[in-house]
Amino acid sequence: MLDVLPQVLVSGITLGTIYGLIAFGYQLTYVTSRTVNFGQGEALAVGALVGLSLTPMLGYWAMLPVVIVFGGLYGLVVERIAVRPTLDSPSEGWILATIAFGIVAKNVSENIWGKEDLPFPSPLPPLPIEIGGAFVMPTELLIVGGALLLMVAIELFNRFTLLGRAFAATADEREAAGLVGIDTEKVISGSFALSCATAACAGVLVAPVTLTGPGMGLVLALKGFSAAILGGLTSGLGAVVGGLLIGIAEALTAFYISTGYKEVPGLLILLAALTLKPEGLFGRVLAKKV
Amino acid sequence: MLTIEKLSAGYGRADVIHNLDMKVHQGQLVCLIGGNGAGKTTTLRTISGMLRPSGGRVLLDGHDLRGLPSHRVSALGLAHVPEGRKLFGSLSVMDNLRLGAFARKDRVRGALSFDLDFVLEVFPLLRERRSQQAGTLSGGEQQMLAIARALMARPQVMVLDEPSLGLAPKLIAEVYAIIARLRAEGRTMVIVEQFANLALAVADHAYVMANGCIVREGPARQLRDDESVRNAYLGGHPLELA
Ligand SMILES: Nc1ncnc2c1ncn2[C@@H]1O[C@H](COP(=O)(O)OP(=O)(O)OP(=O)(O)O)[C@@H](O)[C@H]1O
Ligand SMILES: [Mg+2]
Repeated sequence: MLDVLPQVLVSGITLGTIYGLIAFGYQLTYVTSRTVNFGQGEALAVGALVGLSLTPMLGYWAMLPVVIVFGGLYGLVVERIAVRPTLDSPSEGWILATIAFGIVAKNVSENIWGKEDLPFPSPLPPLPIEIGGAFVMPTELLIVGGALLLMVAIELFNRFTLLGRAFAATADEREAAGLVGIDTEKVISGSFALSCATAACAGVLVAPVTLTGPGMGLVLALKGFSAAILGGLTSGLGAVVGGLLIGIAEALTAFYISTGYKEVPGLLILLAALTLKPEGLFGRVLAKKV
Repeated sequence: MLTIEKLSAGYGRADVIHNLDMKVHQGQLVCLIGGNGAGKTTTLRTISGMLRPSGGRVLLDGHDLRGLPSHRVSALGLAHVPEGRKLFGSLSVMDNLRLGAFARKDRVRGALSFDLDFVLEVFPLLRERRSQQAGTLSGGEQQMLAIARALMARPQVMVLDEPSLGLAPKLIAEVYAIIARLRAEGRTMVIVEQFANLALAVADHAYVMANGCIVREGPARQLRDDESVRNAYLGGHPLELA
């Protein structure tokens, strides 16, 4: 008889990494603009669907970078249409505008791909590999590895390139960033491009283990948002830790208590963390949107 | 070098500054003095493109800056050291300096490291603290870094908003010694200051502001000796430096 705990942890970590990647995407735009795209779930679904259509033409591996670029373009459009017009006003119109943009994207994709969920073929054989007493599907390794690789790449860009430092400067002090010559509007567009690129990538990564359809992103985006709040909307590391905590708590509950209650512990952790540390586990307090 | 013609601007409907005319010649240090709320910061913000003028215009070396956003103004050669420093607090001292040169077109290695060596020689403290987070520097160090960051742009004109703000007298004296040195090197600068005697002591030319208007102007030496300026517009609070 196999010990099931490692097995449960594997599925928790897999899910958790996806939540973390989505949370990471929220964090990217929050720091530069104090706004997020509440249509990230739809960005994720559209990414997965575009990936599904491109795979027969390009093959899985060549499809990945194309979907990431597509997600980036999608983010530029979201920022231009739903966020920028409301940025310089004191209103919080971006909340409604990004939700509305997501609804439109969902309707358009229902017209193109239909409402039914479609299977997404995994590029890797369904042969489990044994790692530390658990059987891990190659697809799960791809999810975790792909998500971590993308996040590490973005963090390296942020920390070690002048343009990345300009993103951080805009996050710290937007007006002063303008004074040293940084076009902060472009930086904010860029952060939306990166954010939706991570969502689209999360979509193609997770699609083989869920199903693919216009509605696939809704719950994922909500969990990702909880992860972002839990980790602190201002920290990339916080996003990943927040995602893993929620993913693992969910897998443990689903197995040891009941699948019906799997959402509960994530919520409890979130509420407890916010009571003890309102800025999130790794967050810092930022100035409000000006 | 910098010409301001009939400049008006404000926040929302009402103008805060009215019909300002100012001129700053190459190599000159011009100061703009006036009490709390006179509109000095608003004037500098309008010059550097953070606020849109409601009337008039600003010319930098012949370029009309009207309607340009601050990153474009910066690229044309104007560096603004804002009120309250506004450093990139989570970034290192070095990153703040590197970003100071963000708008430069001559971003070849040699030119940047020349200016980096220069600012680290002017502000030796920053060399010791180069990998420290800017937000954790002391107030005096932060002001030094804010000036150093602006110098990294190798600006044609540098404008400084209350470099003495919140500093102990000894540090204010240090900051002003550096300003005097930069002036001696022939840099073109505009300094806004509440402590009129400080600014008048280093400036070539001075403008006095009250209620959003220029009420006096003249050579700094002349205004310095004029009791009526101090009494009428500056609330009579000179800062005595040891
Ligand atoms: N963001 C703003 N919104 C609305 N009004 C403002 C804003 N900033 C400044 N004001 C108003 O504009 C006027 C001029 O302010 P400004 O900051 O330019 O004065 P200042 O001369 O720099 O004063 P201080 O010496 O205190 O810095 C003041 O009456 C102030 O209340
Ligand atoms: Mg001021």
